[in-house]
Amino acid sequence: MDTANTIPHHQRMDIAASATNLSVGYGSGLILEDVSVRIPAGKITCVIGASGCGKSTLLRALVGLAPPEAGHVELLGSSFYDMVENEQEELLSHIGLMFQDGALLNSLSLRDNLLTPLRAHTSLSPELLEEIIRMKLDLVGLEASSHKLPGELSGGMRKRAGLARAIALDPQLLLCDEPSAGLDPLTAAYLDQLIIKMKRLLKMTVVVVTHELSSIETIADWVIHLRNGGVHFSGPLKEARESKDPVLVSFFSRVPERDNANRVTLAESFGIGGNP
Amino acid sequence: MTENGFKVEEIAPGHLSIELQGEFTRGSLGSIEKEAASVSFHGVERIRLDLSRLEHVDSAGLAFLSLFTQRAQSKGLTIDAIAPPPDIQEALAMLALPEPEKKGKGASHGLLVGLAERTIKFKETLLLFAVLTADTVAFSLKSDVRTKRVRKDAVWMEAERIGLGSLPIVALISLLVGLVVALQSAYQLRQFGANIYVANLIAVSMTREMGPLMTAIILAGRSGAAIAAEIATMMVTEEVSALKTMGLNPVRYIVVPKFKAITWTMPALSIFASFLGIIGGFIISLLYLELGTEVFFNQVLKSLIVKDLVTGVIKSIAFAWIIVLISSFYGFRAYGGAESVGRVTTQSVVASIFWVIVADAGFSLLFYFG
Repeated sequence: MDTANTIPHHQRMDIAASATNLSVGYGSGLILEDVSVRIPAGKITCVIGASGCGKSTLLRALVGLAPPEAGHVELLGSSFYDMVENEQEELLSHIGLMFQDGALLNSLSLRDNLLTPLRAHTSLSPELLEEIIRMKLDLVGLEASSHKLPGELSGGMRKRAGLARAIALDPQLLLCDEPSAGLDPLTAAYLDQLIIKMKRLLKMTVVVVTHELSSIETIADWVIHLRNGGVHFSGPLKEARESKDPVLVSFFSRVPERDNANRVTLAESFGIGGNP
Repeated sequence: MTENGFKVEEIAPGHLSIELQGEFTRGSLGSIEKEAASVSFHGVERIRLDLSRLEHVDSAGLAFLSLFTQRAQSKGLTIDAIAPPPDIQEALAMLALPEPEKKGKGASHGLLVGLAERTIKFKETLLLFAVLTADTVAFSLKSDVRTKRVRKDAVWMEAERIGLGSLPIVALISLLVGLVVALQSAYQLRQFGANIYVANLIAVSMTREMGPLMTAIILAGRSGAAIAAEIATMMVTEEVSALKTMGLNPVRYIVVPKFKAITWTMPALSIFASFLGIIGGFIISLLYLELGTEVFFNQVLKSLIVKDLVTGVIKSIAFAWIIVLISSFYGFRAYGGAESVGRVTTQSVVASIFWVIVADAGFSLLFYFG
């Protein structure tokens, strides 16, 4: 692809993306505060944590969709927010983002949705483009639906189509926002295997925001646990699983944890406790 | 079944005993709530709350207990409870009382603070509009290879949608406006035997004023609303974000083709509207004023000068830019869900028509004195 040689040296890097002292949000309503994370190259990193802890915001901040109030983002060896718009757009052609609901262009068929990034960033012949689209749609099991509009697809199919579009340009960094949420267990397991294959065969770095424990156990090499707008843990999956940290233990053993220490229940205020 | 009740008794000075019994549900709370509200905590220090005879409590009952407890605690009272049956006790353990420090949050600021906030917001809005305008104009002059590859025939497509699509309605309305203006002016001019000047009046008013203005109002309602709704929907379904992550600038991808298309379809539509307005006037002249075809059109050609046509075209281009920029601007302000799409679409139509008329007044003054 004709833009492939414009990104320098990142294949040799150990870190595919990093955020340093990142704060996202407005004033007192910061969603992420002083977050520093490093995404190891060639690995699958799962960003985990409770709902609303800023996982998706971190993903969006990494690719310019949620510009930070403060901090620094480095993507594939380039300082993203210090680049001019054209350079950012060029860099983004090496990054794929799979949105939670697919975010397909609703007025275009699946084929045209995949054609959009391919046409924008390559000058390949129409035959080659068609073949790439066929292959990518086949990979996610949607080849037969290539002429359908997004509105004619189920939620799960839209999600898979979103993944096909995200990998259309064989990105070096693939970011997935809850890829298996809302999917049936078989499709979810298939997507997990697909992500593992893409990492191995295409040497992709993958970042997955997810809640699904089974998915984390299957795909994660590295885990970043966010809590209350900050990084609570960052390290290999094995280390996270073996950690004695009560929050991580609670997460991996699926025991709900109420993190509000000030919470007083009605029973407590009556002095009768919770357990009859 | 035990009777539902809320019994209050003073067992010692400053020490109340409250016994709750039966069902505390949304169906049974009516009178109990009133009874509870009438309990005075004056001089009371301690409450013995007997919940042991409660049989069933739903959300309304739990809310009642929560509010009653908050009221008692706010007066500094100590509550000693006798535990309810196990399932009710479990429900009480699930329900949290509000955190005291959260109370009063979001209290309204003073008038001046509100005014200052609005001023800052207005300044930011203006700045954002200026950025969108500058981007649109700059991107229209200098095309980008990526967007060009993706949206090859977008300008033609938009021109067809905005221009060709509006043709029938613009034609019909302009013809009717021509008929009405001719009829109203003929009614006055006939009294002075000046029928022939109906042709002058129609020609000048349609080319300088009514043609461009009526076209702009129709397009603000028709195409402006469509532009705002399209962009707003793309915002709420994250299509705009998806474009950004594909390295495509949303203004280049969405707004620029519309801007280019409307820049030349609007003047064409406006000239067409003026022509049909004159035809409307001609129909009235022929049927009602008995002016001959030759006389009417001679008079039209005599009255029109190049400046009239140029004025009309300049106005229509300005109106086109107002409509497309305002509609796009409002479209990009959408967030959340479907309600937001409706809101920004309405706002965009109202703002477009308002600013078209303001600009028209400005142009009229400028060209009158100029």
